[in-house]
Amino acid sequence: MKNILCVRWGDKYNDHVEKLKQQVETRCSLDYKFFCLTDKPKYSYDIQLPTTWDHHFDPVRNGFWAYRKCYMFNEDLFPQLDGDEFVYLDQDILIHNSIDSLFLRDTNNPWIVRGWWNDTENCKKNYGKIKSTPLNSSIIRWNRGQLKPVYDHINDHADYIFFTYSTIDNYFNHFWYNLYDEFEAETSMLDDIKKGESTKKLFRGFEQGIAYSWYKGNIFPEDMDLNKVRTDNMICLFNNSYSINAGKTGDEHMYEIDEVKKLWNI
Amino acid sequence: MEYLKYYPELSNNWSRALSSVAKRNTWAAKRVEQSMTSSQLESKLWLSSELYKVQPESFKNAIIVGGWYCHFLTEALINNNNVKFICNYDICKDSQLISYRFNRRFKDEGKYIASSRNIFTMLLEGKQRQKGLIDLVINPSCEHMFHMKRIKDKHFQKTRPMFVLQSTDEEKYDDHINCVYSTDELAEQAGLIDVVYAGEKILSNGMKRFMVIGR
Repeated sequence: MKNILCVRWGDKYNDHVEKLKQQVETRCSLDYKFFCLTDKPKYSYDIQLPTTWDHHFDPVRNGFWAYRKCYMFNEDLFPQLDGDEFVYLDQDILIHNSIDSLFLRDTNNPWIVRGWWNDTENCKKNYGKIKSTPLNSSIIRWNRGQLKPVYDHINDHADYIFFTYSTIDNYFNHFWYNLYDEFEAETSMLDDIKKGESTKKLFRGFEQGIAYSWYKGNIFPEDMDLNKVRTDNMICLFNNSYSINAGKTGDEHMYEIDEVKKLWNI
Repeated sequence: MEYLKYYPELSNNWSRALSSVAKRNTWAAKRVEQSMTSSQLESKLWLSSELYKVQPESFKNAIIVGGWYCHFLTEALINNNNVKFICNYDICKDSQLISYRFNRRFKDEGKYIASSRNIFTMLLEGKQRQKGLIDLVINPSCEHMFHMKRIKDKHFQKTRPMFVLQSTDEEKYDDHINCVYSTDELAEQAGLIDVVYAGEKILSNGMKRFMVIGR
């Protein structure tokens, strides 16, 4: 069985899950189950999120704030998840085309969004400053067990990770992806990873055409227009950081964008 | 010693390092420039001279945590403090590669290696462990990372190397994730119970640095 997951906590995105579910129903022709991991289960597709790591989170520091997304990497925590194939989707996305191919691909390694809109040299320049990650966890594809080492690593080093990393994407970039040899994972089968350890050979980045960013562009440097619909891509991302700051930074919320509102009518 | 010796091998390594960064690692050029300011040198010379006062005898096997390109510090430690072997751990791959260019003379002599391992979560380099007991741990930039007590607890439960730690109260940079406001706080963060030196210094760029030495 294939599982399509999203994660929701707090009071933001109250109506996003239903909209995401509708989009998935239209854009996925495969047999799948849809679930939302949430702190406040309400609907039949909701699954209760654990609270195991809550005490590591400091709301003032707001480091590693999206940690709840990482519980799903230990599928055994959720008996409802009975399949072996998983796709995670952020709620603030717009799906333009079929997502079937997210399931129909080589899964020697898990996949994550490689933000092709990033300038790789800038990512390298800022690597030590723990910013400018080329990864984006808005879409993740994995098979059961493949991301358990990530769950274990967070569990074993939680105080260090919550203190050090402002976002999970920067954490993934430092421990589970090789920015300096981006195609290393393509040529390597995952070896057994000892509990609590990490390998930079884990994630593969999705190819160009899977995802672009409404606020940041598509492919650096040739296709970087902002606020532009690109229906030749599979999915448009409305980065979390912007929705959190919507109204503060001058960026509109995705539901307030006229061009996007029209596209919701799927 | 309040200065670094400038000699032909050093000159050769540094000029080649700067030239190769300009050609092959252009994105790092600004950072390399920032690593060579007078404030950076003041800070490393301060570290070297106070360490010498505390222990004039040599150290055999040293860790530098977050050493960046490690040009000034490696030169000071090896030629002023007579440190026999150094491994510089910096998670940035560019730092590892560029630091090798600056320290080519020491690498060739087997006195210097650089690693991009994160030793808050990972083991120390095998090549370093083969060198025997580690007797010196230096972190010249604690403000950039988690508390040093984690390093102490993870790698030094059975031994007591000398720790030399520097940090700052300067919060305006977003990568300063762990500022301190006194030498006491810096020592406490690392779990040092025997502090033999504690001091602070205003560098020429106006930044206040704290330093503690102890076990």
